[in-house]
Amino acid sequence: MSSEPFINDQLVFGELLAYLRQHGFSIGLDHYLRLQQLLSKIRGHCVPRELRTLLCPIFATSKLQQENFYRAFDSYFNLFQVSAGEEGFSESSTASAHEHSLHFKASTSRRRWLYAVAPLGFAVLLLLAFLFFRPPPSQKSSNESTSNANVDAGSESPSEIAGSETTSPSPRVEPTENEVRPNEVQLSTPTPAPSPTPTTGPTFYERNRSAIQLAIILAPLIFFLLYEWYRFVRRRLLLERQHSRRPPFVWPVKVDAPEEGLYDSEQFLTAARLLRRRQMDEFLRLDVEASVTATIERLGFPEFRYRTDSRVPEYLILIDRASYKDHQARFFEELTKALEREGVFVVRYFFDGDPRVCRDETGAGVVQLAELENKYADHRLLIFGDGNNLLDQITGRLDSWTAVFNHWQDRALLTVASPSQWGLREISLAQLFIVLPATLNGLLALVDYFETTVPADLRAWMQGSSGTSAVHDAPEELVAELRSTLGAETFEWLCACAVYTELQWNLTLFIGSLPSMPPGLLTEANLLKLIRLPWFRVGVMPDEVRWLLINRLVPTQQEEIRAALIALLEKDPAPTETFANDQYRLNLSTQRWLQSRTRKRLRELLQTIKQLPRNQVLRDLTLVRFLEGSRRSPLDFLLPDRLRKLFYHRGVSAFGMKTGARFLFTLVLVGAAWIGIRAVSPKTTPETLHAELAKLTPWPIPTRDTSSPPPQDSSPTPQGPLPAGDPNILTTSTPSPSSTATTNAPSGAVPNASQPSAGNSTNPRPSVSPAPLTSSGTIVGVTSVPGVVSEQTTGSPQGQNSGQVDDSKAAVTPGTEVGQPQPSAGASRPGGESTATTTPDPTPTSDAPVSVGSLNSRARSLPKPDYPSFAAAAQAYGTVIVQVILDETGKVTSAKAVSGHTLLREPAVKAAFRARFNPIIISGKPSRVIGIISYNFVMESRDPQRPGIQNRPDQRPPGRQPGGRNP
Amino acid sequence: MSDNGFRLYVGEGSTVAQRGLRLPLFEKATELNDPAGYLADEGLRDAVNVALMLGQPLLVTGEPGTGKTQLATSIAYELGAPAPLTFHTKTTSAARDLFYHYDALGHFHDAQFRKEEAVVENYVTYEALGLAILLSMDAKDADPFLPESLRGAGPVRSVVLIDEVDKAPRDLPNDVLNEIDNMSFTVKETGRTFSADQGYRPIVILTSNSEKNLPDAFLRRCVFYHIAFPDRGRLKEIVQRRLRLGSEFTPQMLDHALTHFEKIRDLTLKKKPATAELLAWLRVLEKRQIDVNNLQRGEAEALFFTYSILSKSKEDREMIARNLQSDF
Repeated sequence: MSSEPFINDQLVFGELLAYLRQHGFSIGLDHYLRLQQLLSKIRGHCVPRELRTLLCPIFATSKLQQENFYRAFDSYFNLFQVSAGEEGFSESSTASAHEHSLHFKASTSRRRWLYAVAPLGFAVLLLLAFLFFRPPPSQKSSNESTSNANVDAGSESPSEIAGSETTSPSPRVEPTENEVRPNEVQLSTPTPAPSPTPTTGPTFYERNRSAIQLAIILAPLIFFLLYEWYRFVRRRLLLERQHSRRPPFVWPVKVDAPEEGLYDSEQFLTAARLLRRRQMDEFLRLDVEASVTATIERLGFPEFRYRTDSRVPEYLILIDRASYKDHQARFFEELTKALEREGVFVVRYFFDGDPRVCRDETGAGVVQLAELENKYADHRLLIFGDGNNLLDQITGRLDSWTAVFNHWQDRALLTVASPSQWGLREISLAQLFIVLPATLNGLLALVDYFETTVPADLRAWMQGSSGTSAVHDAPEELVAELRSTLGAETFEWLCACAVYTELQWNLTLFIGSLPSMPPGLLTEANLLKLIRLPWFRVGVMPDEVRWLLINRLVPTQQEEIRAALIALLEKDPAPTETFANDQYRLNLSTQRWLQSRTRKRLRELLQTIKQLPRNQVLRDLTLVRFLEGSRRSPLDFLLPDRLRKLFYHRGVSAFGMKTGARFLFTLVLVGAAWIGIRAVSPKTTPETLHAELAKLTPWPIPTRDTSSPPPQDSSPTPQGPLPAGDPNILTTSTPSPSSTATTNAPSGAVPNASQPSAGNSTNPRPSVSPAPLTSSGTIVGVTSVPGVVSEQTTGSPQGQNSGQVDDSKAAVTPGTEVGQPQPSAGASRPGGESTATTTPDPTPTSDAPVSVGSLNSRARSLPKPDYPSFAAAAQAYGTVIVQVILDETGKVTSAKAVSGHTLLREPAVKAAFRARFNPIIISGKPSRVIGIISYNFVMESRDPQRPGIQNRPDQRPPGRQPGGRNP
Repeated sequence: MSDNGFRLYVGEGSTVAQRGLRLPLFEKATELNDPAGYLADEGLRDAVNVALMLGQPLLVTGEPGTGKTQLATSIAYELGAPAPLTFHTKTTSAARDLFYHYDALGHFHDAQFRKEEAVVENYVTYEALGLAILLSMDAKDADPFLPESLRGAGPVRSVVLIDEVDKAPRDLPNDVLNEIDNMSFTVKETGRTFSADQGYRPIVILTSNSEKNLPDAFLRRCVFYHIAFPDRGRLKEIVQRRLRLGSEFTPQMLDHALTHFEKIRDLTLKKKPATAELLAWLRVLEKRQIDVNNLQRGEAEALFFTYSILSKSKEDREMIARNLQSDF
């Protein structure tokens, strides 16, 4: 061989062969040899695209494999296609798909690029705006020179000072400047008289500085609001995008078949050998040797002897497959595949109930039984299934069309039903077929029956009948019965199978072979016991049974199974942007949470659930039950639907962030803009803001009386800002030039006297800044929490105004707990009397509500709670107890569900709020009380006249009605 | 006459002469089997070359009528080999039948009733693969066993076609594995072994309708190719090369006919018409000058009759007529 089979110790095309092997090709040593032989002959005289058709004939052995090879080859060499340029060797379809994916990538990258650049651009704009509107540097020197004159020029001078600060390279290194500036200010203080403005006229920026600064600060907020509005409008489009997801719709958990095969026993090998045993053919051949011997015996008179030709038997196998999760069908399929591996010639078809229409293994090709009859008439026919559909449903006799099976000489029906449960059905079927159990024993007996043509005796198999098991309605009884019929070990296996949401053949075997399960579980007998259960045909367990079965498992065992499931799920994730991905994520988060039971995992699960359609989650009622039983955080609360839709619609993110994060980011931007502008003009911004706000707000903004300095300023409280010397406080407190003059005096003293660090001067800003909005001269000594301030300022001359502001804030603060009087009630109503009702009682909080127990009977009106559709879907019912607090007028001020079904709590609470009571008199006066209302949700009766009565006669309250209506 | 005289048999008891006609001579459409007109697709071409390079049999599958059998003729034609030696597989074929056939009965008869000695060799007839192996041998060794027509031809590389190998019993492919690998066989009756000269190794082409899966061991010793049904452009090319249609049958008419044919193939028929049926059908359309898109009076009926070429069952023919009726 002239060409080297190895390059750098690596087999030529070794990677391709490995790739092909991954794609289901069985590559053997002979393939390597043939490939090398071929390559040595070609000697590189072809372009790569020609290799596609040159190599395929070596590896493919069927039409399907040929197509698979082309596909695999194209996808493997697609990596080189980009560099190959024009020499693309994929077909046009793959090329267009590639183009599509490229386009998709381009569009997503463009979008990402946009996300990255948008905030950056915004920041740059901000910066530019700032630089553009900054006073020109030439002005700085003139300002400095004329600083004595124009210090009192209101808001303008501090910015100039700031300008000088910022432009000086290192203000703290040069003490002279620092020393000089305060002096200048100090000098200026006693000269309050207005002085002429600088020589140059005011720039655009100077004229509109306050508006511009306000705009810069508010821009992110406005942008945020506009963008949220835009998103709200575009919401439908986003939903449409979600629809454009790709198949697959299901992503079954991928489990490799367990290595220790079910079919390697001696019994199986014997069965395979028997099934391979040659059968007599219909042709006769001249037996030369026998003829010669016979002729000799007859003294030369010709005597011809013939012998029947023999041939290898071939089997046409029809398997009853109810669904793709049908364990019985898989059991038969595996059995026949194992036989095939042992050299038995098998043709497999599947049917669903009625074998007149069959499908091939791929499920694509539909074949009529008549066609099979023509094609495989000389095969032995084996039907795997219970044969129910071969019988007339009324008479129980064989249907007339079954006569078609007579065309097969050898035919048998192997049923999964235990011989102990055979009855009339099997006796009827035995008229046409050899009926045998679908076990290895059955297969062993089968060949004998075929060869001896003695009619099969059902009774031989039916001996030792243990009777049929009773049918149970109640799941508990059913589970108990299963426990006794299956035996402890198989029952444990069944319980373990219940852990995952669906039943799959490979998964069932995998679970059975886990170390936590009893050893030696994987036997034909155990498997048959299991797959005879109807759930293993449809692939789903009833939720009630599943719940009970899971709870029968030891917690450690459950954990181990879940850990194994998680490993399986993680190994083979569903592709993103597919429909199957939803279910996959739900399954994975569920298993993770149930395995570890940590709060973090629960959060992840809830996060996943939020993104899924409700019905998809509710389909798994076992999960709902688990969730219901989970510990609830006191912080859990539900946003009203409208709000949620508005702000958090399906949690679709923008700029890679959720709405909450975007809002926070906006606030940070606003804050940054604020600080940035303050850094530039520390003394003026609040003032201008104040002035601006004064223009904007309809009510008068109170100003601080600077003549009486606030006591808090002088108090040594750590949270309090700097003593009176802080320049910010002084500037914010008054817009008038005269007061600025008076207050500026101490400001100059501060840096000189007591504040060693210049950085301190920025500290008080945030806490003091709201003061002009809310406080009056009397607010001293309190923190800047607006709500508290408002309470203490009642009665002050401007208290009504400030009260309005504060009350409205207090109404939304989380501190307004149940039982506290609502100050807004009075404040919101105009007129003096309403304020009189609320304000005189200063100690409502100490007045704890009196517990009165059940309130159902005291209700004046007790509306029915709604019964939400999702609760109906989940079949949620039961009693929900709501704890309520009534105020003196009998109005429900607070309601909280304390027990009951999760899905029903919200409607119960809503209903409780709508309930009306007469004022409850205790010790002769109306009092605040605490009590409970119970709502009983029962399943609706079929009789509309008597709801609920038929279903639950013992239940007092009718369906969907508050239970306590008739005390 | 409305049928242009193509309907020679009317089934009413009148003779051709009475109707003023005469039975024309049969015109064989020879070009249909002309290897010069055969057009292999790229994959098939490469598969043949790979089989030649590796010296392994080429297994070709595909719908009936896609030119599997004619491939052997085309290969022999292009390689300058003698006409392919063909073995038609039967359901009773055994491995031995591929190489030779021993007439036991004739031998027995002659031994009984003839005076001269009955030599076993005289009762052995060599079959396709046996002949190919003999032809690869030196002429002086092989000629005594070759039939008259082939004597003196060797040594030569010959093409062997084993047609419809899937029809054979399950044992056959496995039984011939070794023989095909080594290209040698033994005549049991005489004990003589023949081995091919590896330099003149026969080129073996097997065809299968994929009705049965062949054993894996056998498949691994073959080079495989599945002939897919050609696409529109290729079909047109094949037609033009094969039929050399007359000028009366315009390219437009051919286009119409191909479109019509594609519609028929899209129907869910039991047996879809393939290239061979298309060629035969086009030949008829050409003779009758039928343009399927511009049917003249009476031609719709005539067209319906031509469907018998394309469909192999009554149901299929009715389905074609039912579904394409709306086109006319």
